[in-house]
Amino acid sequence: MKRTVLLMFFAALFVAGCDLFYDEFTLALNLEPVKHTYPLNPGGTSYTLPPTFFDLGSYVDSDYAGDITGGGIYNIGVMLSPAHTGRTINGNAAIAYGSYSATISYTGNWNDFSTERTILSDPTLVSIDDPAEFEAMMREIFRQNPLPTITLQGNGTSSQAISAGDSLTITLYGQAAASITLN
Amino acid sequence: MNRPFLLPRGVGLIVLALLLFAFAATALAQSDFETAIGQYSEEQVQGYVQPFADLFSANMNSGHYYYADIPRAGLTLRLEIVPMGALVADDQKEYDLPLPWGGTAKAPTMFGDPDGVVINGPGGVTYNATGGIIKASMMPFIVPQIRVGSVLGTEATVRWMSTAPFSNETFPKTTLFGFGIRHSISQWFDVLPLDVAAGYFYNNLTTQDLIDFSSSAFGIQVGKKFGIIGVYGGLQLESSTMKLTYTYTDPISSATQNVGVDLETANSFRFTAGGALSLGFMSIFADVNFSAVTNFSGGVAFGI
Repeated sequence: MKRTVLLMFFAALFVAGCDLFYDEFTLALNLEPVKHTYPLNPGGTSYTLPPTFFDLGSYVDSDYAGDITGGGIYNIGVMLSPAHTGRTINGNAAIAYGSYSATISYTGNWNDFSTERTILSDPTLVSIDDPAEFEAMMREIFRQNPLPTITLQGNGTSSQAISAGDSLTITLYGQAAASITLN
Repeated sequence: MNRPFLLPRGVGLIVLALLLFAFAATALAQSDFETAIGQYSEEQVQGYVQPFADLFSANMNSGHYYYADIPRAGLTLRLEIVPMGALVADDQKEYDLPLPWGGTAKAPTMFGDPDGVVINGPGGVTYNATGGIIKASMMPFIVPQIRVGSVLGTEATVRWMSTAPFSNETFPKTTLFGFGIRHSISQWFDVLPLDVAAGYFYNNLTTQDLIDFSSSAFGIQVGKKFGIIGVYGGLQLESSTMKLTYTYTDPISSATQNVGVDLETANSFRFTAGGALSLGFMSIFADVNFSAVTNFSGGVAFGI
């Protein structure tokens, strides 16, 4: 009798314990920032950022490459180098994937961008022109498995001629949602 | 005749399986758990793991006693298997996650929605929060302990277990150590209608470099026996700390840093009420503990 009671007691506990974890859960992974520095052509007041391709799949830890179910870009940064007093800049960069394209605009004094300015910390300096299009594009991008290649390109003008050695850096900060199987 | 430390056939294996499971549950799947918390900054991670610390602490400070009549002298030697369970409250399933753009949003804790949540930010950006891992409405744990007495109405308990890493270190080395010491108060007074004891309890559990948990508690226990049935209760002051150490890579600066988070747990005072059944060499007991976190403990004791 004692033995039966004990076995039932432990069996009940074991059954309860086996059900402790979810079968799957969503893990939000910080991706390595997608960062590119464009040297700006000196001499003129306008510049172009030639198309640059980024394989987003390569920014995901290989352990989770096959498990991505969602994600997005949560911040975008722009930085100019070196400093130039009295110069202003007005430019944009387009992120494109398939038929989607979203434009990021940045405008202000050149030196405002001596340190990175982002859409979250400095929305008056850097902004997304069409948030709905951007959001739809991100949904589509992060629905792909493996994550696809996106294109970044743009152009802009400066109030003074671009100097030799001037550069512009754009950084995309993203996350991927991975579905992790625990059992 | 009593048969101290001889478990009924078959029970030993089940107990061993339970102990391994309990330790594995505590260790979690280290790689996934560590990766999950490693995505969060120190500020963000606290709310995600705080309920785990609260529930774990409620369990660890349980099951230290099931009677108060500590004999003045004579041999007490018992092996006790003590399962515990702490109730997961609804408000432990969500917390206010600090966001990259400032402010907070509701996000799942370790006990929350496993699907996580997508939070919409300014300008079309989104932020993903990790989902919950543990789905149980009661968080279980189990500890083995040995009780030894009595000298001048004083007895001691020791909890210990250590598991080597297994399953390719998915479950890391985990070590539990705890002790308690209790002294009979009622032995010094002839007029008390109840048995009264006082005790101090300490627990420490480490899971490799990831978790370092310590707790200490001081309490007064009362009890009364009616033949083979005993009732007991107690008041207990307790404090626990869970230190979580992990590596975090700042997604903005890409700087990698070792983060150490000290989580103070919710329980500071508890009231315990329970009952026990003495069946010769074996006793069965169960109690409920009321505090910020409500939990249950119970178990079986084999020995004299």
